[in-house]
Amino acid sequence: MKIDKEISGSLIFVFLSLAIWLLIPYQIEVKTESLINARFVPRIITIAMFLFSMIDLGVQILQNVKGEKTANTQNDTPAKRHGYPVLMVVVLFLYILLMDIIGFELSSILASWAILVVIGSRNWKYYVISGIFPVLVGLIFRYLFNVNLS
Amino acid sequence: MIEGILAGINNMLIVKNILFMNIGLLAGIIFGAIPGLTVLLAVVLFLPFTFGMSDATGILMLLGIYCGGTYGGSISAILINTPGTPNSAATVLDGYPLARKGQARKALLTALYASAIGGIISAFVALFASPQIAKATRFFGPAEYFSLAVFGISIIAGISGGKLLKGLMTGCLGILISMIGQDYTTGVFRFSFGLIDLAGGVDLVPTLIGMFAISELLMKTKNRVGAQKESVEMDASSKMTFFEIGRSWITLLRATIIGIIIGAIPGTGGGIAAFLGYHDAKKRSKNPEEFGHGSVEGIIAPEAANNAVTGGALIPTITLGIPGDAVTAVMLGALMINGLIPGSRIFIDHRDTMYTILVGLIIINLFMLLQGRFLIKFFAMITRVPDQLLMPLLLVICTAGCFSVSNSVFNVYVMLAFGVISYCLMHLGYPIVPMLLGIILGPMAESNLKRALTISDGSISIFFTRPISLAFIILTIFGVYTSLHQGKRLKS
Repeated sequence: MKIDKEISGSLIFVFLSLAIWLLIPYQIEVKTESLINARFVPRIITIAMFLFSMIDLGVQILQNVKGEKTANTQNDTPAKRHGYPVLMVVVLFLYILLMDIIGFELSSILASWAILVVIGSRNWKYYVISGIFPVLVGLIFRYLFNVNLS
Repeated sequence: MIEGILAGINNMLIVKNILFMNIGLLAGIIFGAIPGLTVLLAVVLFLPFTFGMSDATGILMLLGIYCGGTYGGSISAILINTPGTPNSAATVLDGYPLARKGQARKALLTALYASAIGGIISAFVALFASPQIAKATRFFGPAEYFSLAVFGISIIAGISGGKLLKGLMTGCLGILISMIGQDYTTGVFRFSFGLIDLAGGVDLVPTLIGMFAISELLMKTKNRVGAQKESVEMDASSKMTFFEIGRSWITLLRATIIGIIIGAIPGTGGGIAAFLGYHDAKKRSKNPEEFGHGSVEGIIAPEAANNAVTGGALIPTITLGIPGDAVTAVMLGALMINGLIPGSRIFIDHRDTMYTILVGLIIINLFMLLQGRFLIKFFAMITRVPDQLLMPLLLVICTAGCFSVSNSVFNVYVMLAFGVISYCLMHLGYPIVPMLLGIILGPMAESNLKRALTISDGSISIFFTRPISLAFIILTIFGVYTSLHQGKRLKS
C-alpha cells in the first residue's frame, strides 16, 4: 500500500503538537500566577498548530474518501532514492564528529570525497579540486578573518 | 531628508563600502548564474562574513548579492535555457531563442541594461518612500505590531504555492523554534533541555544555512545530479545599446512599476513580478507574435520587473519589519542583528546608516552595470560549473560559515538538524519560507502580544478597537480567504 504523503505529513504535525504540549510543563518553569507567563504564547501557538494540522488531516481524509487525490500526493519516490539522502546525513554527522578530532581541513577533505562517492562522481579532477579547496578555505578564514577553524 | 541623503552619499564613498558592495555583486551574479544555487543561498552563506563589518557595509554587501543574483539568473536562462534563479524563469522565453539565433551577446546585454535601469528606478523609489512610510509607523503600538506580524506570516503562508494550511503549520513551527532559549520578559529558559548551548536560543545563521543550503544538498543527492545542459556559445559581434533599450522605454517603465509594487507586497518576489511584467508587455506590444521567438521586449520586461523588486521589497522590510520576500526576510534578520530595528525610529536613531544603505542600493545597480558589461565573458563561463563539483565545495563553505559564528561545533550540528528538518518538510510538500518568517517575526509577535494584553488587562478587544490593528486583522482575513479561493481554483 502506498503511503499518502499528505496524510502522513498532517499526522506528524498532530503528534508533534501533542508532544510539545506535553513537554511545556517540563521545559518551561512558571514563576508567576498570572495567565500571561512564559508558557502563554507557546501554548497558544501549539494549539494553533494542532488545530491547523487536524483540519488538514480531515481535509486529506475526505479527499481520499471522495477519490479526489492526484497522483503526486502518493509517495512515488522509490525507497532506494531515499537511501542517498540518509547516507548523506550519516556522512555529514561523521564529518562534524571528525572535525573535533582531526581538524577542519582533513575532515572536510574526507567529507568532500565521501560526497563525491555518494553522488556517483568519477571525475578525478573533482576529487583533486575538492581536496585542495578546504585547505584554501582554512587559510582564508585563518589569515583574512582571524577565525581558526581547527 | 536632504541632510540624510548627503550623509548617505558621503558615507557611501568609503573604499570599504565600495569594495564589499562589488564583492557582494560578483558573488551574487555568480550564484545567480549557476542553476541550483540561488540568491537566497548566497545571502545566507555570506551572512556570517558581515558580522565583522560595520552595519552599513554588511547590509550593502548583502544588497549587492541580492541585486547581482537577481540579474545573474538571466545569464543561464539565456545561454542554457535554464533560469539560474526562479526570478529569471520568464527570461528563458525570449532570451534563449534570441541566443539560438546567434545573438547571445545582445540578449545578455539587454538583460543587463534592463536589470540595471529597473533596479536604479526602484532604488530611488525606496530612497524617497521609505522615510515617509517609517514616519507613519509612529502611530503603531504593541497591538498594531502584533497584528502586523500575524498578517506577515499569514500572507507568506498563503502564497506558499496555494498550500495555506501547510504554510500556517510551518509558520507556527517557526514561531515555536524562535522560543527556544531564554524568554527575555520572564528570564525563564524554554525548550533548552538543560543544554548551555541552547540557553541563548538557536543561532540564526546555522538555522538559515541548514534550512536552505543543507536541505538543497540533500534534495540534489536524492535526485542524483546528472550531466550539465548544453550551453549556447556567446558571439562576439551582436550589440545592444542604451539607445535601443530607450526605444522600449514604455515597456521598461511599466515593468519597473509592476516590479516595485509586487516587491512591496509581502510574500511575492521576483518570479511573480517577472511573469506579470512579461505578460503585460506581450499584451501591449505592437508585435506580440515576436514574443517567444527572441523578442527584445520579451527580455526587457521580465528583467526590469524582477530587479525592480529589490527596491520595492526593501520598503516594507525596513519600515514595517515585514519582508517582501525570502531574501529580504534574511536581510531583516541581518538588520536586527546589527541593532537596526524597523519602525518609526529607524530613520531617526540610525539616519546616516539607513540613508547610506538606500543610496548604496542605487550605486550597487550602477556597479552591476559596469561588472556585467566588462565581465560578461567570465559570467558566461560560470554557467558551465558542474553540479557534482559544487556540492562538496558548498558544504565546506557552509560548515566554515556556521563554525565561524561563535567558534562552536554545536552550531554545525544545528545546521545539520535544520537541514534534515527542512528536507523532510520539503519532501512532504510543506513550504519552508513561512517557517523562516516564524523564526524571524516570532519574537516580535510574542513580545508585542504580551505587551498589548498587559495594557488591556488581558482583554483581546484591544486588537479590534484600535483602527490600524483592526485593518491588519481584516487584511489577514482577506488574504486567507483569497488564498483558500485560489487553492480551490488551482485544484479545479
